[in-house]
Parts: sequence; C-alpha cells; structure tokens
Amino acid sequence: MSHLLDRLNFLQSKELETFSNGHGQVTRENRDWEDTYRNRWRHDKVVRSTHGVNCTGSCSWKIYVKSGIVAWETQQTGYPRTRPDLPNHEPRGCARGASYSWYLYSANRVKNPLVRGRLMKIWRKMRATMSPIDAWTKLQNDPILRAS
Amino acid sequence: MRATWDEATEITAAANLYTTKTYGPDRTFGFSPIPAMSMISYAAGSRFLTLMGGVCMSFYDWYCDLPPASPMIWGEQTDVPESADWFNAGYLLLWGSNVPQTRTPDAHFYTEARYRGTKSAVICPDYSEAAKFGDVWLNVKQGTDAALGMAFGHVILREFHLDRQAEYFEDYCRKYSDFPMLVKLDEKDGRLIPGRFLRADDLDGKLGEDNNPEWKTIAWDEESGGLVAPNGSIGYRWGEDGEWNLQEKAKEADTRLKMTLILEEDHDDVVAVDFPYFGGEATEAFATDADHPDVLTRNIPVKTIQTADGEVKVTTVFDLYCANYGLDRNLGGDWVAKDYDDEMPGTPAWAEKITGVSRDKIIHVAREFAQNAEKTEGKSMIIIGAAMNHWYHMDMNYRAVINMLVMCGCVGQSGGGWAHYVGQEKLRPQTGWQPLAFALDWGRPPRHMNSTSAWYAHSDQWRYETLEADEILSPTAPKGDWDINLIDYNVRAERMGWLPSAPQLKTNPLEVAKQAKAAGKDVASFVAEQLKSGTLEMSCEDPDAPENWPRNLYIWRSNLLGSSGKGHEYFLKHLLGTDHGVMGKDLGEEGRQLPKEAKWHEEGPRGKLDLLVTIDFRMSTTAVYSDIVLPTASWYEKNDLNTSDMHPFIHPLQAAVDPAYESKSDWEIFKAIAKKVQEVAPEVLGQETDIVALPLLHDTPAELAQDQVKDWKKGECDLIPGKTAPNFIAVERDYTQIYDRFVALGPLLDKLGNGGKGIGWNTEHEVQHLRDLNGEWAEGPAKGCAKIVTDIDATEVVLMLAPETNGEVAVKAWDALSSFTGIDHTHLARPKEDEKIRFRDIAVQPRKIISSPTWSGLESEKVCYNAGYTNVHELIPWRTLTGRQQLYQDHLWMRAFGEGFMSYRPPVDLKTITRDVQDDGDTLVLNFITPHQKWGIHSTYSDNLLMLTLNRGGPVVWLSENDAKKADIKDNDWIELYNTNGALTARAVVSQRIKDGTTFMYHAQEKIVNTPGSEKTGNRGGIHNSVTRTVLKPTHMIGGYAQQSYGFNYYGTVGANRDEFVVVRKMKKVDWLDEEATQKEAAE
Amino acid sequence: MRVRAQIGMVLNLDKCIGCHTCSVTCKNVWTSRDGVEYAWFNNVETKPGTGYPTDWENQDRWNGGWERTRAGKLQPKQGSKWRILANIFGNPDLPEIDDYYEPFDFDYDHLKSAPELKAFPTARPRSKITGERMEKITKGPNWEEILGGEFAKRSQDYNFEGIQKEIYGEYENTFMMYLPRLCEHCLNPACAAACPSGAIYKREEDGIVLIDQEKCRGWRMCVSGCPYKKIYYNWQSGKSEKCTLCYPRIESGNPTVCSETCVGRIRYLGVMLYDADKIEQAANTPAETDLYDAQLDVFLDPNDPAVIATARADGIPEDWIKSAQASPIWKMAMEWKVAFPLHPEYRTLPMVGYIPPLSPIQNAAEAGAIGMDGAMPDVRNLRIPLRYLANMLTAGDEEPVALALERMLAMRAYMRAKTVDGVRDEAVAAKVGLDGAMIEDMYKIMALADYEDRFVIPTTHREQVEEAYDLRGECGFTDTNGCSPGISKGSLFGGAKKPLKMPEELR
Repeated sequence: MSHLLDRLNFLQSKELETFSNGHGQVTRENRDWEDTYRNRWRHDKVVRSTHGVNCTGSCSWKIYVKSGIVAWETQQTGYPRTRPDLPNHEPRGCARGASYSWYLYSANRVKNPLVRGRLMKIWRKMRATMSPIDAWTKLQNDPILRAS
Repeated sequence: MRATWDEATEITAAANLYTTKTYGPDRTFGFSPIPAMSMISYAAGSRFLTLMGGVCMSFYDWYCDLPPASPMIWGEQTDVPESADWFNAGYLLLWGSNVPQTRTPDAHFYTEARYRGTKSAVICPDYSEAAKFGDVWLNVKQGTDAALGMAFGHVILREFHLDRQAEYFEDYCRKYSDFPMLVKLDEKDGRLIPGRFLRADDLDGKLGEDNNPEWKTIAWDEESGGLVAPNGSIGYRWGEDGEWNLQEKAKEADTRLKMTLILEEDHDDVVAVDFPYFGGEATEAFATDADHPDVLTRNIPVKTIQTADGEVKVTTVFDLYCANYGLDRNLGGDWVAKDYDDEMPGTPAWAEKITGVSRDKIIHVAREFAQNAEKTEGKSMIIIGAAMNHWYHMDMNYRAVINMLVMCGCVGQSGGGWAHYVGQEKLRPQTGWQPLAFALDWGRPPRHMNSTSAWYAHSDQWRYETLEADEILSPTAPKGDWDINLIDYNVRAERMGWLPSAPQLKTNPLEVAKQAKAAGKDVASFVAEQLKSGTLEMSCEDPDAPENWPRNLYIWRSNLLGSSGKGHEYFLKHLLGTDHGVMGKDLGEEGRQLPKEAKWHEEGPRGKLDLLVTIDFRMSTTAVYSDIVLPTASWYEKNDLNTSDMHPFIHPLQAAVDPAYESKSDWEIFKAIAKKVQEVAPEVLGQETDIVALPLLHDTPAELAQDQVKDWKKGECDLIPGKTAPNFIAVERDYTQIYDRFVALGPLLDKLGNGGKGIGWNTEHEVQHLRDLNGEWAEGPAKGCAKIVTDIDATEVVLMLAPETNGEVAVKAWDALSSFTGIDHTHLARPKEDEKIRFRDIAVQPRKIISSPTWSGLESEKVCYNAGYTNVHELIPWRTLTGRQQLYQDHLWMRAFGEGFMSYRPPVDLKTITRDVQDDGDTLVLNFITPHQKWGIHSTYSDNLLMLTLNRGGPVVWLSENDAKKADIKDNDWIELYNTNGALTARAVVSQRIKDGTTFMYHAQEKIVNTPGSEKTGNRGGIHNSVTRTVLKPTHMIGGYAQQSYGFNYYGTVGANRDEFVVVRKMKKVDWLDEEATQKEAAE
Repeated sequence: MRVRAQIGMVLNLDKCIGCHTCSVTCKNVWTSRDGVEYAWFNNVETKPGTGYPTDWENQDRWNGGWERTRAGKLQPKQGSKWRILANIFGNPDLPEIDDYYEPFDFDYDHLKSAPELKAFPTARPRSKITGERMEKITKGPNWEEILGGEFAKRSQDYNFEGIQKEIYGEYENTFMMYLPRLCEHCLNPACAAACPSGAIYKREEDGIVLIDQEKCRGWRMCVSGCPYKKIYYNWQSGKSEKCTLCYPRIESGNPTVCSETCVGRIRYLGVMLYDADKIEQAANTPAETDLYDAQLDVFLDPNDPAVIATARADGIPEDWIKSAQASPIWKMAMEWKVAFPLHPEYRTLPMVGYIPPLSPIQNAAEAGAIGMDGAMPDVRNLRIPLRYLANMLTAGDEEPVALALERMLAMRAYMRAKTVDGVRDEAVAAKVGLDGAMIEDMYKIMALADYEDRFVIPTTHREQVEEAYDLRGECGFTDTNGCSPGISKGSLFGGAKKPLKMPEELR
C-alpha cells in the first residue's frame, strides 16, 4: 500500500504528476481515514456453527464475535475437498442463513419465560395456598378457569 | 406476561403429572420436526417425553414431504444422492424442483454440471429460477405430472424395451426390478383383473419352502424352465440366514428370470385384462378426457399354472406394465397405441391435451433421457420437487418418475437416480442418536405417532371430510366393504396394528396395567381379552370423547400453528378453542354420510388442550397462541449436531456466545422441566407400569404379520397382539427419577445392544468408552451409568454409538448385515475401522461420515453418496416384498383404490368453494399452490427484517396478469383469498411468469407481520394454511405387509393439501383490527 | 505507458441463481446501521426490470457517467465542473429517497407486549426515516424479484431499446435473468470527477475507488455523477458512502464479502494490469459500439516482457505481476472474451465484468442440440434476446455477445463429447476460435471453480512503503484506530445527524 492516489482533477491541484493527457493526476494525501472501514471489519473471534432450520442446507458458517456481541456471519469455505474433477462444496449457504444474526438481539427475540397473563395471575394466587398438583387440578376442574 | 423459569417449569410439570395421573401419559404430546437439523435439541424433548410415556409426533409424513412411493417401491423412507453427484449426471431433469431457490447451497453443482456437458430439462408450471438453467422448459399444467410421466414412459418402453431392447436396461430390470415376478389374474364379474403376486405358498409343495412361503414371490426361470422362488424376497429376510440377497439364484441354484411371456412358446394364451382409467374424472379446472371409459381392457400373454387352489392364469409384472402404459405389442385388443399421435391414454398426444406440453417436447425429452442413460449406464437423474408430492394422488406423480428411472437402469448408479430433497431427513448418525432421543437406554418401545392421522382426528378435520371413498375407489376394485368414511379407514388401520395410535386406550394405561397385575395376567393377553369383550376401547374409535383428547402439547423447534399446520383454522377452533375462520359446516350439519367406525358427537368439542408450551427464540404464530413460551438459545448460542442428505458432512452448532438474556439451550430447558417433574411427582406418581401399544413395524419380523386383510373386530380373525392387532407391551416408569434418568445413559444398551433397520449389534465397548469420556455417576439411581449432563456429552453419545461416526461400530454393523445376505460387506468399513469422530473434531472441520448399512449409498473416494448403490453393487435386497424395486403393488387396498400400477389421476374435488361461502361478484377461482419460498425456510426468516425488505415487507400472493385483470387486481393491491376452510389476506404480486389458473402463496408467511383483518371472517387474516384442510388416503394406512408396514416418518398417512381452490378478490377496506379487547371480553 | 494494477471482478451471470446472499452479507457487514438502511452497496436485480433505484439505467433522466461533446471532449454528462458547482444546492439529477425506497421496520415488540386485543396481534410497518406508521409498503430494493409486477411496468427497462418487446410479456415467451450490481471501480470514475470536495479517489496500488469520509462534505454530486447509482448518501453522517471493494479484506489477500459468500460461485477476483495513460483516449472513443474494444485495449498483457519491465519500473510488486498472469479476470475478459463491461456507453471504463447468461429455447429439437457431433443451438433462438444482452453489455453490438455465448455452448459440447463419449472433439473448439486445451481451462475455471482459481489476490505490500516493524507494534493501540499512527479521530458513523453546511474552503 502506498500513500499515493490517483484522482481526476476537479478543483485543487496537489498533484505530483499527471497522466493520460492530463485527464488524471497523482497526489500524495493522508489516507489514514481508511482505518475506519478496517476497524469495522475487525472482530475478536470466529466460531463455526450452523442453522438448526428445516432445510437441506446444513451449511457451515463463520460466526463473527466482536466484544461479546455476535456481529454477523459468513460462510465457511474450508470443507474437506471432494476429489479431482468435482467442484467443492464451499461456500454452502444462502441469504436466509446470512440474515440469522438479526434474530439474536432483535425485538422479536423471546428474552425470558412468558406465561399467558390470565394463567399466570390465577396460578400465583392458587399457589399461595395450594400445591402445584392441587392448583392444576382445581384449574382443570373449573370450566371457566380452564377456558381462560 | 413475564414469568420466572421456576414458575414456568412448575406449571408445566404440574400439568404433565396431572394429565398422566388422570388420563394417561399418552395424552401429553410433543411435536418437533427434522431432528437432523439439531439432533441434540430434538433429543432433549423426545428423551424427556419418552421417559414420561408421552407421545413423540412424526413430521415428515405430516409435512407431506414423505413420498409414500418411496417405501412402496424401495422399502426405504427416502434415500437420495448427495448434491455433488448431480455433477456426475449426463442428463438432469428438474421436475417441479426449483433448485436455485430451495436448494440454494447446492445449486452450483447443477449450474456447473452443464459445463461438463450435462443436458437438462426443467419441468414446472411457472417460469422459475430453475427454468432459466434448462435447455428446454416444459410448462406443465399443475397437478398433471403423472400424465406427463406416463407419456415419457410410453416413449421409453416403445423405443428402448419393445421396438429395440436396450441390453443394459434389460439386464438391470431383470436383476433389480420386479418385472420378472409373476402375478395372478383374478376374476371379477367374469372379467380378469391383476391380482396378487404368485407366492411359494400358492404352489403345491410350496417349492420346498417351509420358511415364510407366503412371503416368497415366484418367477419363471430360463435356466431350469420352471418356477422358482428367487433369493431376496422378504420371506428370505426373516427366519433364515444367508439367502436374502440379489444374486441371480434361488437358494444355491443359478437362475435367469424371464421378464416377459410375449413369445409364442412362452405363453399359453392371450387374455383381456381390465385396468382402471381415471382420466375422465377431472374437475372443470383440468382437462377432462371423456373419450375413454373408466375401464380399459388390454390383451396380455399368460401362462396357466396349477396351484393349491386349482388352475390360475399368471403373467409377468412387465407384461402388465406395458399394457398399463397403453403400448400395442401386436397382441390385438383395444386401448393400446402404436403411434405417438394416437390419443390413447399413455401416448404423448394424449398427454399433450392434459398437460399442455407439446408432444414434440415430450418425445424429445423422453428419448434424450433414455439415450443418455443407455450410453452412460444409468447417469440420468431426476431432481424432483416435493410440490408434486403434495397432491392427493402424489403416489402417481412419484411412481411415474421412479418408473422412468427403473426402466432406464438409473437407480443405484452414480450420477443417476431419484433426487427428492425435503427437509434434512437424513439424520446420518441415526442409529447412534435413537437410543438418546427415544430413551431406549431406559425402556423400550417409545411412543411414536403419525401426526397426520393424529391431527386429522384431534383438530376434527375429519368432521368436515367431503371426499368420499367411492370418488377414489377403482372401478376394478375387488369386492369389499369400501363404503366408509376416510376416518373409518384410519380406525380400522389402527385397530389392525397397521398405524400407531395416540392416545392408545380410552382407559388410562397405568390403570389397565394395575388391573392386569391384579388379574395376574400379562398385559398383552389382558388387553386383548378386554378389547375383544369391549371393556377396553381404543381411543381412535372416539376421538372427540374427553378421555381421548390430547391434553398437553409441547412444540419446540417448530411452528405448527404458523407454518406446518394444515387446516390451521380447524386447529384454532377445535384443538385450541379460540377465534377461528372456519366457514364450512360439519358432516352432521350438512347431512352427509356419517362415519361408521368413528363415534360421531353432535357437537364438535372446542379447546381440547389444557396446556400449550412452546419453546422458541422468536415470537412465532405458535408462540403467540401458547400458554407458556420458553426462550431458547439461538443457533449461535448452543452446541449441537447437524447433518443433511445434500452433503456427506457431519458438523456442529456451537455457542459463539452464551445464551442471551434468560434463554437456555433446549437440552437445558428439558433438563429443567425434568428436574421440576421429579420434584413435584411424589405427590401423585411413583414407580408405575405403563402399557405401550406397538404397531406392526417395518424392518422387524412383524412386517410379515398380515399377508391377508382380516379385521378381528369383524370376527374375521382372532385378536392376536403383534399379529392381527398392535402388540401391547409393559414399560416400567419412575416419575420420581425422570431427571436422574435423563442425564444418564441407562443400562439397556449394555444389556440389549443397539441397531437399526432390522440388524443389531453388541455395544458394550462403546458404552464403556462413554463412561470414560463423559464420566460416570458415582451414586443415585443411575449409579455406574455414563453421564449425559451437557449438550456436548449428548453429542458424544450419538457420535460414539453411530456407525457413521465410529468405524468400529460400522464394521460391526456391516458384519451383522452380512449374516442376512450371506455376502461379506465388512470391506466397506474396514479401512476406517479405527476412526472415531468426536465433537471437537468436527468443530475444527466438518467430517465426512463413514459408510454404514443404515443407508443404501457409500461415501468413498470413488463415488459420491447415491441411494441404492449398495443394492446394485453389493446385491443387498431392497426391503420390499419382492426384494426388488417394486413397481407393482399387490396389497388388497392398493388394488381396490386402483394403484396397483401407476396411472394418471386428476386432482380430487375437495368441495371447499360452496354456494354458501362464495359471495356474489367474486368470480375468480384459482388453484392454491404453496411452494417453498425464497425469503424464509418455512416460517423462519420470513419475519426477519432483512428478508422482509427483500420481499416486499410482508405476506404476498402471486397471480398471473390475465387472472389479475379479471378481478381488477393490480400489483401490490390488498387481496383476500377464501374458501370454507378459512380466509387469508395479503398483497398481490402480479406476474407474467405465473400460469393462468393458479395462485402461488409461498409457504409459511406468517400473520404476525403486516397482515390486516379479513373482511370475510372478521378475524386477523390467516396464514397459507388457513384455506387448506388435510385429506387422508386409505392406501397410506396399509400395514403389516412387508414394505407397507409402519415406521416412524417412514410410512403412513401424509397431509396432502395441494388440490385446494380458493376464491380471490380485491379487498374493499383494510382494517387492522387494532382495538383492545373490552374488559368483558377479557374476562371471558 | 504507465502500468497500474487493479483488482477487477467478473460475475458469471450464467451461473447466478439469484439468491441475494451477496447482498445480505454485504449489508450485514457494511450498511446495517442508521443512515444507510436503504443503501445496498451490492444488490441483485431481476431483468427485465427497472432496477434499484428505479430506472437507474436511463441516463437521459439522471445524466450519469460521461459524454463526448460535439467538440470531441470528454466531460461528465451532468455538466462541466463549473456547471456542477452551480448546481450544488439544487442538483436536478439527484435521485430522491422514493427513487430507492422508504426503509421500514416492524413493531415486533407488539407481539409480546400488546394488551389483550380483539384480534390476534400483528407487527405493522414503520418508516425508518420518520418513525411514522406506514399504511402500506409500496417499494423495496428488490421489488421486481423474479418478474414481480406487470410487464407494462417492468418493460420500461432501458435494455429493450430496439426490440419489439410485446411478445416477451406473454407467459410462454417469458425470460428472466439476474443482475447483481456493485460499484464498478471504474478506470474513469465519473463520481471522482464530480466531487467538489476532492474526496473521491482511486487507490494507486489496487484501483479501488473510495470516498474519503473526512473530506466528504455531502454535496452528492457523486450520487448523480455515478451512472450505476452506486453511491449512497448517508443521511445520518451527512456524507456519501459506497462499496469499498472490501479493501480491508483485499489488502490481506481475502476476497470481498460478496465474492466469498457467493453461493452460485459466480464471482471472480484478480489483478488486471492496465495502461493509465490510455484511459482518456479509450473513454473518449467516438462510436459507442467501439467502447468495449477500446477498454480491452487499455489492458496490458501480463506475460509481455515489455509490460513486465515497465510494471517493475513503475513499482508494481513482483507478486502482483505474477497474480496478473494467473488472473481469472484476464482469461475471461481477454483470452476467452466471455466477460463484458456493464454499459460501456457510460464511458467510465468499469472494472466489473459480466458473462452473459444462456437461456432455454422454445424449439424442442434445438434444445437437445448439445451433443458430440458439435451441433449447438443457435444463440439467436435462446429466450433472452441477443439484442437485450448487447444493450446491456456492448452498447448494442450483438456480435461479441453472440461469440461469447457460442463459446460457452462449445464448452458444453466439447465436454459432453469428452465425458460421455470419451472423445476430444477439437472441431467443436475450432468452430468458435478456441482449442481443446483452452476449453478445458475454461471448464476448470468456470465449472470446477475452486476457491483458489476464483480468487487470485496478492496481499498489499505496506511494508515496502511504511515502517512495518512499528506498525505491527502499534496495531490497535491508537484510539481504536487500527494499525495507524492515529491521525484520524473518532467514528465517522452513527453520530447525530449532521446538517448540510457550506464547507470552509469554498465559502
């Protein structure tokens, strides 16, 4: 990598030289800003996993972890090779699998146990005085409670 | 609302124990599909349920992905080539399979094979992603594939078997198909129809066969010039050793079987035989062929032979088969054709009218397909889409395809064969996984149930069944008591031990066991007596009685109510008892014929379930409907195993980070529930004896139970458990040790060994390895047992016990098979005998599995995995009646319903668009097709923002430009689809690529996202399954009959749903139904 | 001659399965953040269709790319630099958000937290820009997926130019193809020429075109200048962003995210040597149909001793010269001539090439014509009209596209003869101007397509121009700024929305 860059001349002229009949120019400018995207790419570890979904994919993925957060995933490419004159398997995967990491921290994630509101309220009330089996028995034997 | 883990598991445990005590353990159901996709997570739930005596529900059949044609023909659930083998094909026919969209990771093997010179044709009604890659596109009318396949077969037979006999094809068919087997011709009303296979038992002296002569089929032998019972038929499989193979032998004698009796010197006579023809029955949406009668009589060469019952006429399967395809063989008679342009059933000209594909294209593709197969010795392959399996008459579609492959010698050859991919049905280390998943280490057998029959009964879809037996019965059906409802067939099948039951007995089995003990009888004879006397009843006879309701349901790794639940609105109405969109009336209200075997209640029950527990990481439709939702770890937060049929690797899911928020892995969740059960149990239950009803299973000697159909209840035979009825087996349970057993590898593996597919082996060595690896319990009820505490421990159990991941076991397994076949197969695993794959190994890199007799293909340096490879190359019989690929199905019910041979059967009329339901002015009626989508795997991902962004942001339905115009629908308009089953709302995608007359709603777009209210029902618009209802087929209920015997996810009823039509209309007003419920409603 | 090296890309559309994995992995890594929700550095379009943003190919409307003036001068189509400056506050050629789509999200939490409702709950859409409820979603980045929408709308597609298109709207004559798109990293980038801030440059060492996020002032002249509409304005940061060709990966010898994750295995990356001094002349070629050839003329043969000598003199590292010799891009574009630039008439000399797709034909007899006798279907009978492809790839010249398709068919015929009949059929190869060895090489690269054959990427030679010993030691310690002396400060993304303001130097 050098610190040289080719630009098409717009206004300023910091060029070291020009090329292509003066259509282009070479300048020397600070390119340290480029670290911005480099940092975006950086991550702390890559773990092999896949998606437990009902497709025939069974694809091997690289899961990228940055500072304890799953950031994204891309396909593994290092499958055992097939044999000469046969294509290899990499990079098994698809757009669906590539979008999976969205679920982890999305608003659609189930984050803690959920119990139907009415059931939970009745249960807590009953359990104050009854054993679990007695509570459930009473609940089932009462047609109104059972229907709720 | 939010709860603690302790509260949620306590409610669950209390409900399970109450149900077990009050009604029986088999009233707790668990539904989880496709274990291969995360086998430890599946096993967590199924292990817990099985220890409890609960019911594990099947999925492959329910999803209608199980192609019954596969067990019928091969005795094999489904076995297919890995995708890399596509590259070896010389001809690839993509038939209803949208490879780029639904086999995305594998599609490159297809696109790249073209550069190797592979030719390809694509058959599908829409211009799909796949169509883009074909050399030619055959835009077949949906639902008519069998007609197309029949015409392909007609051309192949004419040009490669009759006008010229391709040597390779003949050699292959002689050895590996049932073509040479002899079939008896039966008389019915003075006419002849194809009957049963001739068996040794029919002959005087039984050809010297005293072991299972009624299960040994017969052929004409050119060597000896007489009848022989060639090796390999299923009679050789059980009760004797060493002759169950495909060597060209009958016992020790060399044979050469005759395929046809066509020559003058071979036959005694030429007779007229009747074949059913269903082409005239099509509904108005399909081309009706009224030019031909419903019985087609064709001339067949026959031999007359002496049997124990006198003289009978016999012929070969091949001779009947050619007649069935309508081929003129110079034997005279009607309804056969010499010319492709003759519009006779079976010809390309006939198929052109029905399928809309020009005869030129049909002839061209058939010819190229066969030419390639002949030149390459079988490297023609058909990648088939499960869509074709979702029609009511799916078997006809599939058998049409498989027939082509068998005729051309493609099955079992690398680069050839039948490639049917649905779900990861290939749990490669299956035999290692089963003991863990079904707690076979603690008790046997587990309770397995075929979901289709169960949901049909328990969501009361049977109460609305309008398809009557006489609509599907063959005009050539043998005499019998056929005029009953579809549910009645199912009741009979359960009663005769053909299909499993859940629940099993109306009385709590724990109570029945106590009574048996008190009476001093073994449970099997006690139950048999009580059933005969009527004191005990089977639950299947009265699904609506409260004692027979499923009470608790676990759903994990699944979205039954947002995705796979055909007849969604019926589930809501009857199983859950909530708001629903069912608009049709039941049989009672309609005044239709009521069931004769299943008890009818005037009023269908609402709300059978006491408790619905769902385990998921996302708020699916099922989760929203649940009483309890438990947060599970995502796939990047747990350790598990994963395999597929598309590649040979076994590889891991791994926790990249610990489970987020309060979630836990499925393994930990079921451990927590088990622990809670163990804590609460002593209040009501302790050590108990349970009685498990076991159907007649495939791959066990019980598959030879019923060579004749006899119903004990009708007095046609005695009730003999395990022979004329299910077996009844006592299983000991201890509800105070559920957790202790869950986390330990129980003693039965040491004691009974392990195995699968009819073979078994000693496994002491592996169990000891597991003690060394995972540690052993030093005290408690599981003292001395290997630990299975963590999910990784559980993976090691699977990997250690499975031949696919432990070379030592593979050698043992092949050795066990060798004693059946009399051929040494151990060379297939010897080179890998020392290999033992562990979890940390696959964490580094996925590993290829080791070849094992659990599967019919090999994984080696020379060949890609391909199904049937060891049948052809190691001469291991197919697990069918004839031991060969069986293209003729001779069971009484198969013949009664006209499916002895493949033929074209138009889609059935489900009568769900009635005058009552259809509003005036709504005139657009379309066939409702639900292919697999691009933006989800079933419902998963379909709620994912990225996928929604790429797919118009919510549910959409596709229709053709012409159809859209008819109903004044423009692209992106809100539309509503409805019929008596229910209604759904979505936006329209208008496209030229859709064939007129169909509408595509890509499967499993959920109502949890961007779905407005339905004007028709007043409820939230439904999911794709809101307008479907499943319909059973009697031929899938057959049992105790060789390959047609029950196996979990192997054979049984399948949930067909594709023959459905819907009314499509533009919505007038979009109502989001956002109002809160009133206090009064909330209180209700 | 001034030798430069560039990492070029080729996409084999004949293998594209339209799975959009490239788009999703790219989005996750680069644009899954506020301000660029609507931006897809990589997207996949269904053709025929009007694309994303809508109608982007219509330069009569957007004035992107370059034009040759009547006087024979090459200048940006949106006008000379003085005209661009004049339009800085009212750019008439700038697409609006509705030309892309209004990004949305859904009220997912409602499914868990909603009070008891009369009906089953559903998560409704909300605008990601305004936060307001959206009654109906009417647009997306992939609205026309697999021919979605009436033909009357989709056939506004600019590539139907000169074609009687009505019959292609009929069901029986349907055709479609996928077109994945990203920044072309042009040799003659119109965006760079349009930037008033001088923020856009082409890296001298690998040709990657970047927008300096410190210099960018958000004028958006690049957005209109780019004829491919592959520069996106980040409405949060107030700066424009674009595909970076994943330079953080390329520098280490890794393929771009879109390439490595391409499930169809259609993407190739490799070094191309070119003569920087020829750019202006090539881009200014008078006839549009000559532009394709003119661009090929800019490329330099990496095996030519004179080129190698000059390359060394110009400071091209030895590994890069070797990589250029093994480059799959060179083979496809120059040796086999199966890869073409996208819309060469824009005169930007794009460095992403496309192999045109084969398609089924109507005639059954022709469909089977790929056989050992060398018979091949006539490429003019394929479903996708040749003219349609030519309008996209060669400014309408059908011959080069026809030859490419014929070569692909010849590869199939030759290989079928070899694998099925066991014959090496040189006649098939000769008919399309190739020989058997070349075809077998094509087969190896295009069919077997091993990872190392698809991606031939030399690593960057930073150590030659910087103090690598120090860099290694400093990595990560400089204000989270990676391996640099730490001149840049702070994050350029995700901050508060910055209002447009007049940059100092122009006031």
